[in-house]
Amino acid sequence: MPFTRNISNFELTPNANDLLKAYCQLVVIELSLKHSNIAGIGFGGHDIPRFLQALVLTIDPNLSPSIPGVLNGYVTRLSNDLKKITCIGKKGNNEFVSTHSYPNMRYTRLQGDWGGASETSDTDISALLQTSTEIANYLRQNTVATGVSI
Amino acid sequence: MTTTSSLIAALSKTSDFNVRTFYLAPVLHIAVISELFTDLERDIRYKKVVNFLESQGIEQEYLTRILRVAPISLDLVAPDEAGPTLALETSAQTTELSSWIPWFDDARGPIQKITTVSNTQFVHFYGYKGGQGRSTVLALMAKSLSNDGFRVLVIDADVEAPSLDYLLGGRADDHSQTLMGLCGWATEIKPIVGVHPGLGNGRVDLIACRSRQPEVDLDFALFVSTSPLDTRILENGADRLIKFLSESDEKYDVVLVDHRTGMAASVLPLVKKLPGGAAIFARPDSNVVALPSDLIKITRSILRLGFSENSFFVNFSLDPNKAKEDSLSPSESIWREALSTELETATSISSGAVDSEPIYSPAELSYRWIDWFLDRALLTSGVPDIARLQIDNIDSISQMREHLNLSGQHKKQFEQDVDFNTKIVIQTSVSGARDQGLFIQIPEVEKLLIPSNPYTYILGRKGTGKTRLLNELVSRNLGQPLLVAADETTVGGIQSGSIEATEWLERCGRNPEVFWWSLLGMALLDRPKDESIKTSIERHLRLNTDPKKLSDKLSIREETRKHGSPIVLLVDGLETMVPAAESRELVAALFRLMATVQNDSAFASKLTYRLFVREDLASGAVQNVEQQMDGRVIQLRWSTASILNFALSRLPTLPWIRSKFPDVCNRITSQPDGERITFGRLSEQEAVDILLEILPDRLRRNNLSTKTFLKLYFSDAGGDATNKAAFYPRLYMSFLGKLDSLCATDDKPLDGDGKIDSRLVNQAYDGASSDFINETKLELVYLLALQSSTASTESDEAKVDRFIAAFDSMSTPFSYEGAIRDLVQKTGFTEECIRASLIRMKSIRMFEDRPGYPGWWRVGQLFKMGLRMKYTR
Repeated sequence: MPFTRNISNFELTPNANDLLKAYCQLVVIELSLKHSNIAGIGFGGHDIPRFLQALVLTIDPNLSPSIPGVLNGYVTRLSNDLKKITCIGKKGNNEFVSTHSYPNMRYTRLQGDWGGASETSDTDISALLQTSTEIANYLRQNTVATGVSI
Repeated sequence: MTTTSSLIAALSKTSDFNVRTFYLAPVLHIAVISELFTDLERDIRYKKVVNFLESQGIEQEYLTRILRVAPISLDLVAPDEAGPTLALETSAQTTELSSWIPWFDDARGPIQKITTVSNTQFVHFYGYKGGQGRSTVLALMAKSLSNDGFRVLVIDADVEAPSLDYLLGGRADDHSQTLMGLCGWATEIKPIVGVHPGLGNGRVDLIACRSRQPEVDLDFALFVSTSPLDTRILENGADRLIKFLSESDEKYDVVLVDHRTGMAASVLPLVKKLPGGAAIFARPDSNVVALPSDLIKITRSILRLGFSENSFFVNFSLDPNKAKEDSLSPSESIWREALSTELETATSISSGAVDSEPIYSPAELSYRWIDWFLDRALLTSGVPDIARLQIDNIDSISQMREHLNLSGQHKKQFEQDVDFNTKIVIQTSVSGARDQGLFIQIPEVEKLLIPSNPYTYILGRKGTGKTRLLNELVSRNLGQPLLVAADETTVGGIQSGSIEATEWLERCGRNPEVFWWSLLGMALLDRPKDESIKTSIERHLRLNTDPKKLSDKLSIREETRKHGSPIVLLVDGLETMVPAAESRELVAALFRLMATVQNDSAFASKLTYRLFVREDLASGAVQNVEQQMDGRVIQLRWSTASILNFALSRLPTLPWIRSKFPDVCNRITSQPDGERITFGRLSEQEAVDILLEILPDRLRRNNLSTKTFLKLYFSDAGGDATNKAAFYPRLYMSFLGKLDSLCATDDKPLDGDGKIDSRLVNQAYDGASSDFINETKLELVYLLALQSSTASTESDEAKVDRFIAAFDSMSTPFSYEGAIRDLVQKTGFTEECIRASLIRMKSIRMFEDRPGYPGWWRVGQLFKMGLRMKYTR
């Protein structure tokens, strides 16, 4: 099945720092959403908020009234968290991690590396890890209703 | 009925389950930690829970339903797996207090408040329901505090229906002045300064909820819809506010926050982050006895998150007959007792009180309930002065301030030094430009004296002190004069109607657009430092500069952008710049320029115009003028109290009065009255009492009480409703000056009571009002376009003289059409121009409609004497 081993590999980060854990968690979420063959989520792109919104559209609110609201809440939180991460963009300039391209967080300008200029605080990294962990946990607990298995 | 609470309660009944609940938005986690789950798959664990619940009478379908409809995560973990769950619980402790959920979870133990450190006092105004006067009371509280010298910042956090910008008359031009800006929509924070001026160091500044520009509507909708989904948006906004307050040069004594009602998601993030007391508006519904349980929990959360010691409740009474001392209804008693208990409990917790003794006595708790009554003063738009409220509400404001430890005057000394040894010059001029007496800072004027204030349109009738105010702004370096009154020679701007101004207008081809833009270009482009604008125009006239070069808008904008410091340009004298037929277009062109300056960010950030103009010229100047002026207008209007303060301020400057009534003059020039007079703050009665120490109680001519004379004869009200009257400082100045001169030359100036003889009072008034009409004639030359039906070489001044003379002995009230026929016959002017002239004279309050008689007019009080019209019944 697509991504099964990838997902499994990225889940195993016991001694990683928060940046790496957050990144891996987002990979797990991305691949799990792609793995689940949900309408509107193909294999291309890395836009997790958009994938989650596509997932919301597939959920019957009569059967699972609470899930769309929760997922929408997570979409907002994740988007806000990503936008606080500053990184080096493709053209070498400083920019925020775009919601449709979380992998750019590989190039995060971490606190302490850049003399205080446009750095990302450890707190913001931790917040991103927190949000991504909660999203993953929620999807795990609602596999049947969402059709997403992590 | 099975509920989430009953589910949690049921699970907690067995010692096999260690049940912990915590909220990580948007999910409520019910974590069940149990040895029974060890080595079991999740569906088996779930089955164990289902079995247990069924033994407690909760059917599986209820559990399934709740898990389906509510955002709940049922985390079933074995003890050796509980690490991540407990870590999540720890994370929740810092975030969940921004939500109502933990406060509504009956199974939760004591909730630990996280104290934010701030040097600023915050007060949160919250109402369970709308329409209880919360925003109005907040605005009144702000005014009351600023009047006692407190520096107040108001934050409008009513994210769904903000109103404080309308109530307080401030307008946010961009996000930097708003809550949206605090929450990330702007890079800097710049409150709207001086929405109410206050006294001494006091002032009210405002951070509005949003900018009112229509193009911001969508952004606002996005903000409103996303901030509930992530409470960190508002929490970060609060953090930013605290940072701004600590770093800003402006030091605020108190910050008042207006909140949304009910269980709005915007409330707790701000209460949590901005520590302070709360004003909780809780009015019992008259037809509901029981107190809503959610209100108890809401109250509990607000009081425990904040400082309950500084909190109180407000009970809004719609009953006009109710008084403070009336007894409570049963529902009121129940509400008060329950909510007071919450207050007491919150205070006990925060003070760490372990005794079972109540912290507050019943009387003290009762004192925490403040009644607010339906008040007639609040039926007008905006927020009235505190003094106009009914006495019970004034007392209520005092009581609220007491609970907030903000009673009395601010300890900081008033910074304003009042110099009463002002040189005496009572020369009136057409514009009042030569009045050098003490400058009275009525509230409307106070707003303009605050740097960076948003007021760009200062409207006032003739004689209300616009020109004097412009002079004051120049003398305080609060603006540069661009165009000034015709007889203003001291401040350096281009005099209206001067040779330079009219010649320049000719060189602009009498194109008002080019005229105004070229004046702006003159002020900004290639002007040597310290060269006045008046000198600039002389230079350009000499050099024969092409006005089109100076009026290039792109160059001007670029120069404005590069300009180091903000520029404020003052404009006056529009009324006398061009003949009446051209004045509308001249004004319209200036308004269009000002609209460009307002709406273009390159201009708006550096350049401000302040236009002093007659109201009738402003209204209808351009399409949508109300929208253009919205939030930027000051109406220069002297009330009865403020004009009497003005009159008092002039007495010590009059030589004869100063020599004959030294005690009265000393009282006016010393504390505490002197300071209050400077700010126009003596009440009507207080001011009249002082004036009646030198003036007789009654005027013999018509046995009129002098108090009535002072209120009626100097106002433009035709007869009814003196509370709508407006007064003219120029007329009072003229009257007092003439009175002083008459007394100095009269053989017997004092009556038997040692006061000024009433005959001299009447003479002084007659002279002043005649002079007033003479001054008005000069304006009428520019206002009217009188044309004879036959060819004539008569000057405009002569035409106006003849026209005014034609009113002699005419009756008032009069029929409009009848007056036109009379005036055509007497003057030979065309019917069309007389019709238009009467309407223009009406626009400056020389005439007004006779109420109840369509088509009938009457002369304004001020002009009756000058026009020599006769009152008939």
